[in-house]
Amino acid sequence: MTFWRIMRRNLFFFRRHNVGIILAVAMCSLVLTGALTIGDSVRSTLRNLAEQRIGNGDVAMLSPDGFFEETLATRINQKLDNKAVVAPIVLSRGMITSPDGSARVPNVQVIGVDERFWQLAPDFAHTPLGTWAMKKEFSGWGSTVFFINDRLKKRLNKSVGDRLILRMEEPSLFSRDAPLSGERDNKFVTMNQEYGGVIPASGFGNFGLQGNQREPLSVFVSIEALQKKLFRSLDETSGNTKFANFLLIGIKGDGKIDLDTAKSAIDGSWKLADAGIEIKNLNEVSKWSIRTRQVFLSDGLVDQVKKLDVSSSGVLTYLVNSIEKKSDKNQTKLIPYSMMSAVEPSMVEFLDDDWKDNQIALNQWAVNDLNLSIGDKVNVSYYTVGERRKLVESSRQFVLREILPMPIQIGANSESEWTPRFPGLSDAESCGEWDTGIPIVHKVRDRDEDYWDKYRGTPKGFVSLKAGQEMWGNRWGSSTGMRVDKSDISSEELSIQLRENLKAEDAGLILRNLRSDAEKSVESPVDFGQLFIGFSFFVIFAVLAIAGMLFNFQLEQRREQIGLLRGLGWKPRKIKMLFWGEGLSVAIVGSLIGVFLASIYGKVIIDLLSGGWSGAVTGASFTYNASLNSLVIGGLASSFVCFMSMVWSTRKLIDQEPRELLQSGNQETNTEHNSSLRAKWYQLVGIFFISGSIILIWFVGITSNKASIAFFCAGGLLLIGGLFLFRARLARHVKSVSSITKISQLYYRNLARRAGRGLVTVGSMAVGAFLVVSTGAFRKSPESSPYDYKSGTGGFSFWGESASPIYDDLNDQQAIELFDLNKSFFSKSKVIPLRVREGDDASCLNLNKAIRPRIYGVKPSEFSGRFDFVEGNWTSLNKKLEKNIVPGLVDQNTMMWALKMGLGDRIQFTDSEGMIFEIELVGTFKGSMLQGALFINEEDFHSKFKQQGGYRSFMITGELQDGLKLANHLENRMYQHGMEFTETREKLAEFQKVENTYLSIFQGLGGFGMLIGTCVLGLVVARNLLERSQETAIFEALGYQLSNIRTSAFVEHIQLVFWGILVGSFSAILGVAPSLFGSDINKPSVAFLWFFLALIFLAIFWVYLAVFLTLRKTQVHVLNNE
Amino acid sequence: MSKIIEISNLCKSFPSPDSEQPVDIFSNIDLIVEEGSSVAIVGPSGSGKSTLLNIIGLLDKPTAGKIIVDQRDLVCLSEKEVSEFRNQTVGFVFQSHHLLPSCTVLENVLVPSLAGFSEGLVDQFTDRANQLLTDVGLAHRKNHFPGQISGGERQRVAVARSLINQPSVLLADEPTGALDRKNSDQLIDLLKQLNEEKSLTLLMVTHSKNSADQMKQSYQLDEGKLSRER
Repeated sequence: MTFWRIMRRNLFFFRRHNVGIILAVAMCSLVLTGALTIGDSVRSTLRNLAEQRIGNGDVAMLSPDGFFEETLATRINQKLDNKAVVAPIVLSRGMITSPDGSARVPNVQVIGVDERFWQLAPDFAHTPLGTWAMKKEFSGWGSTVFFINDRLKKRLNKSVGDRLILRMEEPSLFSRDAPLSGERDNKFVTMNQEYGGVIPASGFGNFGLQGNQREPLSVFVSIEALQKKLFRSLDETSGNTKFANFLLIGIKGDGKIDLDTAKSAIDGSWKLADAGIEIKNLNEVSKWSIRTRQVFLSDGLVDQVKKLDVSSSGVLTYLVNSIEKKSDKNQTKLIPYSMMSAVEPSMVEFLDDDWKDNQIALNQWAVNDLNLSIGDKVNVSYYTVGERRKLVESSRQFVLREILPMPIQIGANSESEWTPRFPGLSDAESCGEWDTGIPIVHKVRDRDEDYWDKYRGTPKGFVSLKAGQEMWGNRWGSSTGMRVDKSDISSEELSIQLRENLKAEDAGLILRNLRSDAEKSVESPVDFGQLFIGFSFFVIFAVLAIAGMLFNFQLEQRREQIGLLRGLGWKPRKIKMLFWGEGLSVAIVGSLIGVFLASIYGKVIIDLLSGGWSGAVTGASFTYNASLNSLVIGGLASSFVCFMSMVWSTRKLIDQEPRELLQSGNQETNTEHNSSLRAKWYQLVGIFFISGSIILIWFVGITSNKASIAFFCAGGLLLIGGLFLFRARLARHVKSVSSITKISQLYYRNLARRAGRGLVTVGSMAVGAFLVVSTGAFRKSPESSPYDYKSGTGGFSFWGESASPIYDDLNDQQAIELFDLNKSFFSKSKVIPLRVREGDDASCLNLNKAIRPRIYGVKPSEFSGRFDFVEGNWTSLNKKLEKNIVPGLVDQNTMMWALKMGLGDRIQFTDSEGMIFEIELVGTFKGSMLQGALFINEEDFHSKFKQQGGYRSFMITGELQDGLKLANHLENRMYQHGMEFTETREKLAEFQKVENTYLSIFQGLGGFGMLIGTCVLGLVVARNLLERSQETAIFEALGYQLSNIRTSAFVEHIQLVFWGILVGSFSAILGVAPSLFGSDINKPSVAFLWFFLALIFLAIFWVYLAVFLTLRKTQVHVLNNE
Repeated sequence: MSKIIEISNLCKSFPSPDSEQPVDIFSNIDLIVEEGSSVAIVGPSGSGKSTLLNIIGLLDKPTAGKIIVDQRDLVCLSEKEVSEFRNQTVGFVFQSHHLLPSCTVLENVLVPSLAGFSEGLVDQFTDRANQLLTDVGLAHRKNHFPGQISGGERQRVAVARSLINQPSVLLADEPTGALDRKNSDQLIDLLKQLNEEKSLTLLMVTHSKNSADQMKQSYQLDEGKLSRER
């Protein structure tokens, strides 16, 4: 006989006792492992979605606010020894509609691609160029067919062959916010093509940059067809439409391209032309002129030119509204709409070195026209672009110092060497064709037309560069060209040196490690494994209690065996090893069964997440996928916690003295003194808490906006008070002064004997019931007063977005006229525009980790007093921080859960010139619809994203009906912009639905745990009765009928149920009273009534079962001494 | 004197774990106890003394035989009749007192009166319980809990409890087994007193020859046979 043999024998002998423990441990293991596998499944699904999103693409190079020559893709691939695939992509946004307007989806992702893109698909076989079958199915792939992804297919609900119309904004050479950027209204391009089929996710249908479980809405077109439409303006100037704004770099099949390799290849491949930089040979002077497609040279580029070891000077040419001669009689004569240049006087031969900033040189044509003489005062008026593209006319007075000769005539298709290519101007054949984006208020005379015909945009005057920059300098740049002496450097050398000094980022080419971003995004801010372990707390707690109690029962029944071993000289440690070893063995067996069954639990939860609980994951669907790690960890953890529960429940038993262990029967005596005093004390404390509860609800009131939390606290106080009253009742029965006159008094007396056990039982039921039901009080309700500035909607009634940006202030008369809007709709509602920098959705609707959250640029004064803040306010956005640090506001939930940050933390971004900057969190909104993004000052937005023009997000003020009228009006009038509004309450409710679903899951699983936990009540009853078996026997011997004893035992223990449910339900009902009886419109479902009914039924069932099983046979045998 | 207990051909056996043949505890026992007598049953451990007493008190069932107590045949009683018999006809005193620790001495004495078979007012039973406690010398302890009195006192409370419903027969199973000599003597004196003064029939199982000698009759149960000693 060995130690292990004894253990094996014991396990076999007490196998029936162990069945219950095994089941409890299996349940624990099932729930724990199941929860972990849910986490696995969510992660695995997000990983799959991320892989489908980027396919075999490892690195992306994008030009967020511009474009580059498509040939860059080929050059980069050559640098990579043609081992990689570099796919040029034209990425745009637009609105897709059916010709009759019955189907309309704004804000779709337009992706222009060629065969190189499909080669990087997750599964090439499923692309239009994949297998023979796919080629046949997608036979229309080319220039005449749209392909869409599955989500867009569901939204459009169209059949293959139907025609669809895609509208997009034509990209501008530079920001349309900038002066002289062209026509005021957006330029739209339209593609009317057949719908050719659905690209599956495996065929790259869900390609996208944003980490989100929601698939993008995508339409795929041939890159060539898209280029011809989008870059048609460039075709007129450069004879080329082969531009792209995105490169996807990867390796077809196995293998990866790392960021450094890609960066090196890009650095070695891009040319100045890719960044729109050109070196123009000037014929009139011996200089090279450095210009850009964006007209205004960025400060970075100017700095780089200045760093070259050459003589250089800046030029700023601008269109002025008038050159005016100020006469003595206050009568004026003016030349309308002329080009004027600002130069460095010392760098041009026609201006003296001592040129003053208030002096002007005009050409003979202008002098003749205005009849000017040297020393005359000349007024120059011009437009600058103010806030929201509002044109502000300014003027400056100069003194005529120099009269320049007549300009040289310009040939056909040529332009003055001083003047860059302004959109809508340089290619105009006559002044009447000018489309500069400024209103023409002065009459254009025949002689002006004549000047244009002969000299085109030749400047009529020159001022100092300093004066010019003071007048016309703007955030996009203060020069339209840089001139370099030819004698200092050759064109080629200049190009090489300039290129060497510039990084890809300086040229607005931004690199992203797609693979790394995708991997990071999969690390969901919400760990569903941990979440479900938390939600299953009650279940786990219940089964741990069951396992512990069952094991304790078993050892209680074997106490004499323990006593015997102690008596025979076994050390307590060895006895513990034996008995706890048995427990561990049983725990391992139970855990293995649980691990085996965990997949069922996991799949049920995954199904629920796709069904009744889909609100928690915003409609995402997951595939069950358990990892070996989770199975092992779940099994080990459940074995451990169950084993610890067994150890805890029996720790004192084994340490008892052998004498106590060997002594059979219940020798306890009740020696509680001063019980009536205690009863009074408990009663007083109980009344104190209940009074506190009443006072709290009295003061707060059921209709107050703080009612939810106040009533929850009141419910908690009532619960504590109720439990004290129960304890007082028990204490009163401990030592009754009067004699027992009724059998019922004996029941109470028995209950009082184990006051602690009874209190724990009643307390567990009451607390569980209270928590499960009353957490419903924390459900978020739609705003009862959405027009309250401090509410989650900020008092806005609608929030919308447009596919194409709008550059003007829609409330302004100019915009009202421009878009033919009805002014009356703006009388009670206003449109507050927000600038948007696309990024990851960091709200609770996104299960992925937000790497680069979306940024909104706002004007703080327009939001003053709106939204409730935990920290800071809108003026916090005006804070001046260190260089390259921008203050930002964020919703508290987003900061805590999605970003996992705190106030003062910073998030890194790249601006439109490739420079790194950080947004520092300086304030947080409370419970708002502003979740998921960062809000910065519009001025900071301008400085960081200079090339991004216009507004794409709009909030509407005013009450619902007024807001609705305006929203509908804007959606109709600005149809081409793809404008779409949502009621702010709906937007907020979408976020609240996530939180509410979490609460529902907690209540669901908590309620389930409570119901399982009622089994513990049965075990407590069984244990009580087993401990009192001698007492039962003596009752029988004294003539009590067994059926009566059973009834009395049942009545005795049903009091625990009664008290538990009474205290729990009253507290819970008080906790949710605002929802039930108050103004809270989010009424709790009737499910909680069913929960209580189920709880009562199960509790009674377990008590009955325990009484029946324990007392099914006579107990008189225990009185037998022999 | 009339017969209060009449046993004939009483057998008791238990199934054997080793063979199909049951183990006989005793067989064909005959016993007649006169009303108001006091009878001791002695014998070695395991001879079946307590089993015999339990069968007479309907705490156990015989394998065969006939038992008539107070002119009632005990073999074919319903569950309710069995309870009523235990409550009204016999009083039981065990080796251990088996008092309810949660009840006072007085309440413990009253417990049998609450079984539902006793007729009378609560006050009558309380008065009777007080009287019984006075009889057993524990009136001053009536509001004490069992944990607050001595072992001998507890056993005397058990005797008072067994008498609350004025039974015809008092069955005592080793009542002095857990007591010291002094307390044993006091208890036996009490039982004798009850037998003599109240004409209570007393049937006692004991190891103690001294205790057995205090009874009017004595029987020996050994190797399954019951024989009268005196």
